[in-house]
Amino acid sequence: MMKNKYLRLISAITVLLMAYGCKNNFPQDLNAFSLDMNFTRVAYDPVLGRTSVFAENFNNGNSSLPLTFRISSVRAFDGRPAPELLKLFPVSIWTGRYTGEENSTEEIRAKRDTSMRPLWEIGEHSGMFTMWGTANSSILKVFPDSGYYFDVEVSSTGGRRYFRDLRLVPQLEQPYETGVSNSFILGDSTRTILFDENIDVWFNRVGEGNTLSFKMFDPDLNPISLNHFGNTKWDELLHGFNKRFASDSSVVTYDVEYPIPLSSTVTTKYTNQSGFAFVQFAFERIGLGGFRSEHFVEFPFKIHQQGDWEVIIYFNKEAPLFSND
Amino acid sequence: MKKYIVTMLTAIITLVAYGQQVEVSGFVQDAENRTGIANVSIQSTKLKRGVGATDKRGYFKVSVSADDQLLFNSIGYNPVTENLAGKKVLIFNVYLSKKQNAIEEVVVQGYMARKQETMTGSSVRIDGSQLQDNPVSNVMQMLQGKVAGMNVQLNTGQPGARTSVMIRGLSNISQSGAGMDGFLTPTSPLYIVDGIQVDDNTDFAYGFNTGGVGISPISMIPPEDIENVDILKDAAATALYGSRGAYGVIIITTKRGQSKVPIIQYTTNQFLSVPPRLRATIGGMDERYARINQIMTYNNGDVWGARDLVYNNPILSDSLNPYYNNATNWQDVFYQPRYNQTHNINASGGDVTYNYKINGAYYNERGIIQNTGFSRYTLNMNAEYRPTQRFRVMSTMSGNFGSQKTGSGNSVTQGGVASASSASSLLPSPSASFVSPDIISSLAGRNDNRTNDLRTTLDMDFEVLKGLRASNQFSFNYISTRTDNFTPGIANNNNPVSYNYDSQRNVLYNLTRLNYLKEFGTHLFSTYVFSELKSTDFQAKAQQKFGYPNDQLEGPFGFNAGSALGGILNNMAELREAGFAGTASINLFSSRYIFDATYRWDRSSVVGSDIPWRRNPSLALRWNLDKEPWLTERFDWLDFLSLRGSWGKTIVPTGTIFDANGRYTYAGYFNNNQTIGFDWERMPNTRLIPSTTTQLSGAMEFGLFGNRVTTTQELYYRQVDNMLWEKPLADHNGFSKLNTNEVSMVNYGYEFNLMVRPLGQDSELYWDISLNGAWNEDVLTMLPDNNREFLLRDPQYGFHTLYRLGRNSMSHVLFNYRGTFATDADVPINPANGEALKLVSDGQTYYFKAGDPFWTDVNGDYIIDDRDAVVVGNSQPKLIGGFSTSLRYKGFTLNTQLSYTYRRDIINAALANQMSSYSSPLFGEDAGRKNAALLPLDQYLFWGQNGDVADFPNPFDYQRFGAIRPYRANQTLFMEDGSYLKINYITVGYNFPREKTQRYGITSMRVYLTANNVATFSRYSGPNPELVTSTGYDRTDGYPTARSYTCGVSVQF
Repeated sequence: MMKNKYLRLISAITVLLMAYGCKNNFPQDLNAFSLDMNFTRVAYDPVLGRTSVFAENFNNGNSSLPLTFRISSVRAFDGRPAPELLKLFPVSIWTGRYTGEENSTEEIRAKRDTSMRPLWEIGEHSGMFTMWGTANSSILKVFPDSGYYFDVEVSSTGGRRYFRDLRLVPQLEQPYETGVSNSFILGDSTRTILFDENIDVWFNRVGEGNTLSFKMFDPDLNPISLNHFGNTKWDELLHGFNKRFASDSSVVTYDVEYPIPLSSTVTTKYTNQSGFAFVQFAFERIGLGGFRSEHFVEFPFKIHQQGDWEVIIYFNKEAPLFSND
Repeated sequence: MKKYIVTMLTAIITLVAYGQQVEVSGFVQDAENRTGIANVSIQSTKLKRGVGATDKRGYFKVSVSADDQLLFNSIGYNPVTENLAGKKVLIFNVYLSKKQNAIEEVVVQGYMARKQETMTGSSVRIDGSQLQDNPVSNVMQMLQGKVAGMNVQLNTGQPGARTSVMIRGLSNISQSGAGMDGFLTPTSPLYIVDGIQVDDNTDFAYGFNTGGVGISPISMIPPEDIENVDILKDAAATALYGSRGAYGVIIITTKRGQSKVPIIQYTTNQFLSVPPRLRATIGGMDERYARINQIMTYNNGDVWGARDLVYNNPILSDSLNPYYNNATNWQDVFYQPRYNQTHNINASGGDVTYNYKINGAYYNERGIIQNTGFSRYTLNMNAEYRPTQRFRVMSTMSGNFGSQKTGSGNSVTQGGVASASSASSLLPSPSASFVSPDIISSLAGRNDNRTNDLRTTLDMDFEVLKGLRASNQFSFNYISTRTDNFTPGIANNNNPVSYNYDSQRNVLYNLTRLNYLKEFGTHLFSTYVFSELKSTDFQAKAQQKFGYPNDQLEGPFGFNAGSALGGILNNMAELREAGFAGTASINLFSSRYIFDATYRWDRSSVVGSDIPWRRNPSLALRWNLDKEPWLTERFDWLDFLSLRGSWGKTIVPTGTIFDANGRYTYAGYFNNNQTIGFDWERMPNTRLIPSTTTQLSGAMEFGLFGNRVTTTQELYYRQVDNMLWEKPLADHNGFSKLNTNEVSMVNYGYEFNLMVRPLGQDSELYWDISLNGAWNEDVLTMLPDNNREFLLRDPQYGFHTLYRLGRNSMSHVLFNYRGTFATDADVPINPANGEALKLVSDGQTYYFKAGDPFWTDVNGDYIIDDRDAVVVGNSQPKLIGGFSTSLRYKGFTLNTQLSYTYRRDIINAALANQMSSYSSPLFGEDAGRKNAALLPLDQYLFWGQNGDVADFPNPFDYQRFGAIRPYRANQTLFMEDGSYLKINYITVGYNFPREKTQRYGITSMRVYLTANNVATFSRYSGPNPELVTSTGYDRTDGYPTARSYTCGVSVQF
């Protein structure tokens, strides 16, 4: 009996050892971690005052996904610490989907929230960088300062790797941007076409509110009544609410939420394909030979800084011709 | 005590009657099937010598003294003693029951029959009687669930097709094709049919672009003619088949003549194949309203536009038109029950000196899909002549003809039928006024595949000196296959197409062996050496022609002769293999300790020229503890107990001679001369070696309580190295691909087999229960170039397969389905820009909304794309096995076989596809002729309106369907547990008592009823969890497995 017991014990141990020994030599189930992985962009120059996202900036080189990214050892160009990049700031985020169909500023505000985040963030698994719109030149060093250096730690169960000395060079805020304007308008004195250089678009920040106004001036800086622009779709001019004309119709004002457009990646009826807000002022008159002729001035723009903004369209050569032939 | 008294009394009575001679006669029959047993020796216990034997019918007549006791003894049966004393009637029947002692069974291991108690390797013998009573086109179907560790899956219902057989897990992980069309490189074990090596892995259509016909060579063997099947699993058992034995070996032995007087046995099966329950569809008016309703609701809120869409679609709007006013059940057009039959006649006779057998079989099965089926005509003969104890010669000849019709599909799938049977029910059934290419090619196309298989062997055996035998085995196998396809013009844009393929394969095999046996007291030493040579030639030709003048005139070229294709295919090959082996076996103390060692050297022309002979050793031990006196003394209830273990290497050639040696091909013009140059497609690998399997296994076998419980418990570790893998090369190499041996994997697991006989030997009722199972784990251990993982991309459907070290060899790569968005507010929002979770399709952005599936955005970029797939699942089953029970009471028998598969992840692509039927309510470009059968949705909880918490996403949003693809199959929503329990068959049989049939000259007669493929129990929501591809995808166009009901008669004259 004794012998039998030993035998059983020995065989059990042998089997277990065999099983363990074999399993122990198996490769572990780890993620592939390729040496070919790399950041395809190593210097980032976000313009401050707006939320900038840098995507498609990492090549995983056939590593298993997802990888985990973390920004580490952020420092100024001279090696001194840069606590401003680690500190949390209140940033404006979206909590609901922006569609362009919202009917009031309240509705838009309900979809936005403020959350505390570092200004320069990396997507934990996507590797995308985000510079939040709260960042401004009074917080961060901006170009021509050489900016910051930082490292990124990329890891997965397969390994860990540091990408050293990526650069961040914040650019000074630009509160607004505009693109190429386009028009088909005749001058009232020469009756010739006014070219782009004859029409200026000015952006003025006049207050701390949340409004946007449009004005037009002739070369003598006399306001032009917006009533002349009868074909303008005033209600769909931009994603703003409570449209109000001044008593002399020289100014139109909307309550808006900033930035404009609210999301540069969502295409709405207020934006063009390149993510700019797009306005068109149009009218028609009876032209040569009694034909109806349509005239307009249109331009894309973005406004990043919140405030009471007025946009002035200044006809610097001659006033538009509104009267019929 | 009572027994003793009775015996004493009889003894006293016998003493009185001593001296009186009587004539005793009667029949000796098998207790199970009531057939006569020939050559049963009859011994007188009194005279202590044999007094006679039975004839071929089992009849005996002996003259003994009236008080004698007769001992009836025959190999393989339990001896029976009949006491004549006191018997009034001296004509009686004796029933011998088969020996159920597992340890005394004889099993083949390495060209030699050995007793089970001396077996060092792992092997299982299935008796031919277990393969009867159920007509199947491929005998491997009958073995499902019978052998622990052998995974048999009927992944197609096409009659005559190959059955997937894997012994101890995966052996090759390379796939042809990818995803849904991906098929694992087949790794069927090596079959040895009457000494001839039969390869089930070549020469048949298994994948989708493989040349060859779809008939498995195993389908050519009539089950009625099988004496037994041996399944050899581990390295020790397969060691001597080492040059091809890495996937395991299955030895099929056909019947021999055993009776002095000729026996003629006739068996017929009449069976009805019935299609399984097919998928439900919405028919007629319901389909019309379902579609109209969908269009009206989901046309982006534009009701008037929706109305126009309906009006402009006559199938929907013109409901009074008889052409569109139908409720056709398309599946009934193609799937129908069929009545089939088989006939088998077997004539055999002879004795030890000379015996013979002739078996003729006819099998015809028309498939449940129209225009498909399989028929087989075979004639097998063998004869053995043994003039003296020293010399033996045996010859077999076998001619087999198989013919398979596959309709418009191939041997695995039925794409044409699947698409044609998914036509809209609103269309009229096929008639002169309504045809579609798929219907015509399914019903009227021709797809005939034929195989002619001729096998001959000649074995000679001569005892040169005492203990030294020389033998030679020679075999020749000629297989010619042919495919003949024709697609009528109407099925192919008025352009009839014919395709012909034929191939020839010659296999010549010779084995010469010297065998030496020496006994030293209770010890036995045996050794043998052999050499084997094998030569295989293969050539295939194909031609394809287009544009015949009409469907009747097939030839000679068609009007488009320039586009006719034809010639010898580039898979022609001449293959030579040679092997030398030596083996030594030591058997100590009357089989108490057994030690086996084998060593073999192999070389073949598919091995690279820089590689010397492959050397494959194996070692095995067995310890029969029941022969140890210290053990048996203590436990008298222990019948036998033994431990065995083995280690060894076996190989199987992979790749072709071109992989090893390169290929010369026509290389265009040079200096105005046609030239032959090197083929730059694939770099020759002069170091190419065969796939190598190293196995370690240990087992314990024991039997208890008079063999009422016998069991085998086995652990194994099986490592497959040097798997063939195609590697792309950097373009500056000149060559573009290279086949290497850089993939390894491991299977390890546990197998058990348990046999229980709850009732004793003397019970009238015989009951036998058997349970077996095998738990297998597989791990990938090496990939080429030391990579950790490799993704096999499926560009078409996105069913990628991931190979990653340390995991199960093949994993699914799927989108993680977390549910359906109940409302728009549930969709995650990108905080940076206010965008909802989106996906980009064809440059267009689609935002997810209520009713859409919620797939995990793994990388958190708020975009669903390939980078968000997760690695899950294992398409290979964890646990497989079977359960069988056999009941016998007098002449009645009841046999049941079940098999199970547990823990297998399969992708229900069929459901995904059917759910997608709502994606085009306006029928799309196929005008309802395919992919238009609507699935009734009442049993599915799907999203219908805002706020619904649903299992399935919204199937109706057809405008965004193509972009979002909510019912894409590569998501975890469709990954289901493919575990199942299947009742393979139930047979009720009755053996007529001999007395009743005798007057008609019938020595035995048996009738039986069998239900095959009775039921499958599974939580799987698709039609059949077994009918999936080897990588675990349930295709919609599979060939469903028929259920069949058989009525059979077996008569012996």
